[in-house]
Amino acid sequence: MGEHVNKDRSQSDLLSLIGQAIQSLQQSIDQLESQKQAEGLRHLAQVIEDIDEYLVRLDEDPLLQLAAVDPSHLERSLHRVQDDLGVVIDSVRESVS
Amino acid sequence: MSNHPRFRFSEMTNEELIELLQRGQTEEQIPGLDLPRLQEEIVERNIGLVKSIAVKFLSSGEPLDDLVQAGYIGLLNAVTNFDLARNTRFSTYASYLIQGEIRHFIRDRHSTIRIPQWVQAMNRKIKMAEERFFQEKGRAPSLDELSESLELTESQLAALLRGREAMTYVSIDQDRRSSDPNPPPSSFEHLMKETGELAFDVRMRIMVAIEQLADIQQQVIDGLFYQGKSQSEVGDELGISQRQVSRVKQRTLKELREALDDEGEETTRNRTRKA
Repeated sequence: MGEHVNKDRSQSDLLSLIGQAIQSLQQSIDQLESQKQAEGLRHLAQVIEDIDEYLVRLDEDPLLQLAAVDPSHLERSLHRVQDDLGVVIDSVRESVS
Repeated sequence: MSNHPRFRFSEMTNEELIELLQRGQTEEQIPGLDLPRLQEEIVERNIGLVKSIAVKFLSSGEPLDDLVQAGYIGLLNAVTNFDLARNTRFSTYASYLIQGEIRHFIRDRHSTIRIPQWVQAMNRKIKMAEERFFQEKGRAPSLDELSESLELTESQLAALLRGREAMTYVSIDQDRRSSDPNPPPSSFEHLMKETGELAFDVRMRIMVAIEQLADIQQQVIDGLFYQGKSQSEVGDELGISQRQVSRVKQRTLKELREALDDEGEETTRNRTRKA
């Protein structure tokens, strides 16, 4: 097991989620580039999971209303990010198998 | 079933079916030929191809049924425009048009997606190099010819094209398609699959995901701090107190500051490492 991925990520708002996700994605690039596929994949999967968790609580996020963000548009955008990351995970898995 | 004994569709190849269809449509009448059934046979036989291609575009977020519908148009175009004299297999040609239609569909639906500047710049460079080659030689460049004019290795260009394909859904052959309804299949496709390089397109996808997230982040920050609403107004709209609104903003600012500090430290570390 390589670098520890923080599991305690109870992001209550969108900016926390995004900050965390961007950091994880940058780490995943570093790890995939250093041939640490398992760690890189774990970070990617964690982002997908975090987005899922956030989407469940989407309606409770006070920031959305404060910033006048359209929740359905946001949901679509986050799903798109998840889809893209899903493709990356599949590609990396295919390349190592 | 009106499969006339003279025309056993099930025993014919795609190419034979299409030849028959094109003859049937241009010549006055071929005795015993049921044209609608023949068209149906061609579509039924190739609908699996449409589905298998449509599945590859699921990451666009569009429903599979819609992607299949778009691909179906490509298939019909392929049936209409297929030129038997070109010596290309129908499935190769149809795949090309099916993908093109699906990309068109996705591009139309996602026209508001912001394509990162660097992807656009890369697209322009590749397109210009390809057009230059076209003007000089009167044909599409091969992968090695294009890579030479871009001063890249073949595998670098293949990775670029693969990454670009993944990001923009825009094929460099699409503009040509409008002037040539029956373009030759892309010469890049099979070469791109052989390179086995992954890092670039993986990196590109992740970078675009980061850009998308950063874009959302920017929107939230703009909305939060530049909309000109007072905390009381926002509080009234949300049914919370002005104090609670203030707390959310303060927390957000604190987190942003911490994130920026972390980033600054990381950048300094990287610079020191490089120096």
